[in-house]
Amino acid sequence: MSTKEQKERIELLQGTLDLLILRTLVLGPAHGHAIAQAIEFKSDDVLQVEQGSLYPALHRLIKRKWISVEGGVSENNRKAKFYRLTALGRKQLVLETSKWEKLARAIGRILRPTEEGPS
Amino acid sequence: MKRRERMLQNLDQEIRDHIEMATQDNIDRGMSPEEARHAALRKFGNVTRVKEDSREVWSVVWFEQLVQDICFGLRILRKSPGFTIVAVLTLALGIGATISIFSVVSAVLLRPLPFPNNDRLLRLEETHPGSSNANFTYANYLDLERESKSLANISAFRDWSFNLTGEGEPKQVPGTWVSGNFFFALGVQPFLGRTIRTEDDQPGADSHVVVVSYSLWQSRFGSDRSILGTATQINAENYRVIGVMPEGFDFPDKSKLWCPLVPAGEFRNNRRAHLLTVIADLRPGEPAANAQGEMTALAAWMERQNPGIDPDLFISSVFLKKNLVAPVQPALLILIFAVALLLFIACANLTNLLLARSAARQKEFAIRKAIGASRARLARQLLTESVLLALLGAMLGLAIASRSLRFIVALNTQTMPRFAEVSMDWRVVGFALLISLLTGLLVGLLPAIGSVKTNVNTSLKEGALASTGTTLHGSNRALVMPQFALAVVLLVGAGLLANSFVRLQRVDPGFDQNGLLTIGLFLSSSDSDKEETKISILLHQMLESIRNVKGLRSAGLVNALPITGGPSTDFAIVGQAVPPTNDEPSADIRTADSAYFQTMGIPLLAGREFTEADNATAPRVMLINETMARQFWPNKNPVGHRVIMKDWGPPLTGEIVGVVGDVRTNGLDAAVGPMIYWPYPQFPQLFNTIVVRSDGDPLRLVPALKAAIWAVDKNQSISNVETIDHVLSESLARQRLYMVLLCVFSCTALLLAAIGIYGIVSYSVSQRTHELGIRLAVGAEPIDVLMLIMKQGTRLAFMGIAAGVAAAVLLTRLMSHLLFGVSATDPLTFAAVAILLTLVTLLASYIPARRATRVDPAIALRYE
Repeated sequence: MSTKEQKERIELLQGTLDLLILRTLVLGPAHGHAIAQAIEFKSDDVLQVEQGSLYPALHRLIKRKWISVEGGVSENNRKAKFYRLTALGRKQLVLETSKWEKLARAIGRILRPTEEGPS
Repeated sequence: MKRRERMLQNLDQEIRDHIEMATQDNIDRGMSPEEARHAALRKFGNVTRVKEDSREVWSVVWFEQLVQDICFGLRILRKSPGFTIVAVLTLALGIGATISIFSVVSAVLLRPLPFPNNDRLLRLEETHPGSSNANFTYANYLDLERESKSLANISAFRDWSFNLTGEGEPKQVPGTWVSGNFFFALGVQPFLGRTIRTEDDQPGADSHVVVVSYSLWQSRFGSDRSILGTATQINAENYRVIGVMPEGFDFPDKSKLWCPLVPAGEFRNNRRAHLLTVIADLRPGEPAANAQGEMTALAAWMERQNPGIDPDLFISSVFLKKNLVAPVQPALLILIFAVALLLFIACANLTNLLLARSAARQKEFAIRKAIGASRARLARQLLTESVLLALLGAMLGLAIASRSLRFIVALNTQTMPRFAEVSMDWRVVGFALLISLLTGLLVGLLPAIGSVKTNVNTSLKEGALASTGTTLHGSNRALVMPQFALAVVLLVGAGLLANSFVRLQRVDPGFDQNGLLTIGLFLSSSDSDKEETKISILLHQMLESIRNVKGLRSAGLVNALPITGGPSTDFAIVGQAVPPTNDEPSADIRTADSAYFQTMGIPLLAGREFTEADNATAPRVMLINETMARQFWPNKNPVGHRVIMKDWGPPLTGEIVGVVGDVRTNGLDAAVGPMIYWPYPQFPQLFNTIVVRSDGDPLRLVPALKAAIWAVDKNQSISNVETIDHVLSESLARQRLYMVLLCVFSCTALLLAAIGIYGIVSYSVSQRTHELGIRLAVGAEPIDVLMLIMKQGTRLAFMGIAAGVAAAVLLTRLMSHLLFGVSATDPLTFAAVAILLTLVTLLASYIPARRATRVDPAIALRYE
């Protein structure tokens, strides 16, 4: 990895990883690597999943009963753990998403005040 | 728990798969397999850390880690027993000393008095300028009890001795005459029967009742519950036992029984004899300041009612607990300060030990960091280790404290207030826990900060010296300074006390103390006025009987021994102008027989001694002491002048027939005042002491002396049979306790400081072997190397000594009231301490520094 590549990438804010994992799983169950890949791919590789934090985050979500875990077979025919969104997780995702949007709008207003409201 | 295990079960496999998939992705992007794998691993990060973090999600992390840290810490401590023993011992000394003194402070100063009314129990004192007597006269007490609005249960009592006769050997026990509301003021309930009540001290009531202590009930009455209502012989009269107090109750002053205080008619109006101790309860809701205000107003009112009697009367009210512990509070605070210093010195030593050790453990820290330990985790591990050490130290410290406490208390229950209550309780154990936690954190702090700074790369490089960074080294040595400064403060304090003690022991008591025995005789008599003749006849018979004992050189009689204090009186000199009431001169009064002065070895300076002819019918005569002669008849002969004693019943006038040498009346450290001696038949007393001088050990005469007394009166109780040496030594018990404790603490401090500098110098020698080898190889003389090494430690120690001397000059002033005959800034003591510490510094750094000169350059350079 070149240093340039690293600089363009953004480390995830604390807590947002949970949100992204939940969002990724809306599309269907996935295993750990696939989740990381999906997040990076969908953000055009801008978001960098600190992989060290992926598994603790998954366990945290399981503990909160927002996702569940099941056995399965990966694309290259190996046994793997698949993570699936639970009903509780789905509700949580809606909640978190609206929270996030509010936050993003608020921060945006502060950073670029002229572009927003009529002055 | 089950769910958690299932979740974590396949984590390893999952991570491996993850990395494999990532590798495959990288290969697909065109990397070589090896490159792909490295990139995947790099991206994934620290595998162990990921596992730890995932596990943390499922666990009560702090607790698991704590258990882990403790197990690991114990393993580490077991692995280096030498270090552990030294560290635990060092802490045990510091913590043990702290706990012992805290136990005393806790019991004496912190714990409430064991009375339900402790919170509002006041002691009232009549104070007069220039007099230490704080007791009330009976008339003033009655006025106060009648008039006060802010106080309830205002009660008076008077310590007394009681002769128990009847069954078995006659026994004299300390007891108290108490007013009827005494037990209500304290709020205590009896164990059996009832306490004395307000009706019991009223005129005409049956006042011959007694409440006994639990211990007396056990020893004298065999714990017999049917004792209530039965009669027992006290002071030759029949008293009815009405109650037994609960175990441990012995207020005031180790009382064993309580009888109603019933004043004889005339005594109720007495405003001269200050004999009563007064306590009272603050009425609920009444602030203490109000009570004091009322007392001040009442004192002024009493003065107006009785003009000229007590012109400077002032009544003060203090909480009883404060009043009881006032004599020892300043010394106890000084001692707790001293142990705090000692503990700090011990902590500094341990910090140094831990710093040196963590320097040697750099590699271990680096490895733990490399495999994923966070800085916080590493620091926590080190703090856990030091807290473990401190807890072990506290356990040993508690053992040391309980031993030393038993020793301290056993020696001093008689002379120190509330010492009988001293024990290790939950408060002490809690304090020990707290202090060891704090100690552990304190000593672990510097090493923990140091370990966090460990640089993984340099520490793991092969052959890297197990050396410390400059920061560690700096803080390491710097601790020597406060250590030595505090040691100086402690040693100066101890030195000043020891100096005072030696001076006290050298004080001439005014008599020859060798081979003297004392025997306390308290005569049972209810009404001394009618029986004066009987008393002197009895005493005369006993003296005659004693003088027949073989091996005895002489025997004399006095009412109160020197050193231990006794009664005093205001007096006037016939033919001299009478000063105003509040300026009357006062003198101690003693009664003695004709052989007393010769027996004691008190010299006659002018005139004559008493003779057998100075009896009750002869003209009243008196002897005075040298101080009185000098003060009132400077350069004149007082013999032939007449003096009026004013305070004890109707005034008595006597003629001075002689002058005798001064004796220390109220203790070796108290100034000598005027003293008047009466011949005992002319002013007979109930309390008497026989002094006996013998050729050999006087204690061997005790059985014969007792037999001689009992031959005259088989019911005569005998108390305080002891040598004068013992009396003198007891009178210094308090000073001795303070001195011994402070000496032990300061010697420990000295030892720890010496070990501290020794350790630092030898550590620095071992660290610099390589460098010293080079110096020697290029031609440095051994003496240069010696100086180089010694300069390092000693410079800081000398700075510490200088700082300590400066601090001691400021601090010793606080203990000036504990000193005798030596100033708080005594230059000799200061110089001696400074020299002692300088020598110790030089010696403790010379021994390890000498090793540096023996470094063989060849070996030193090849080393590592």
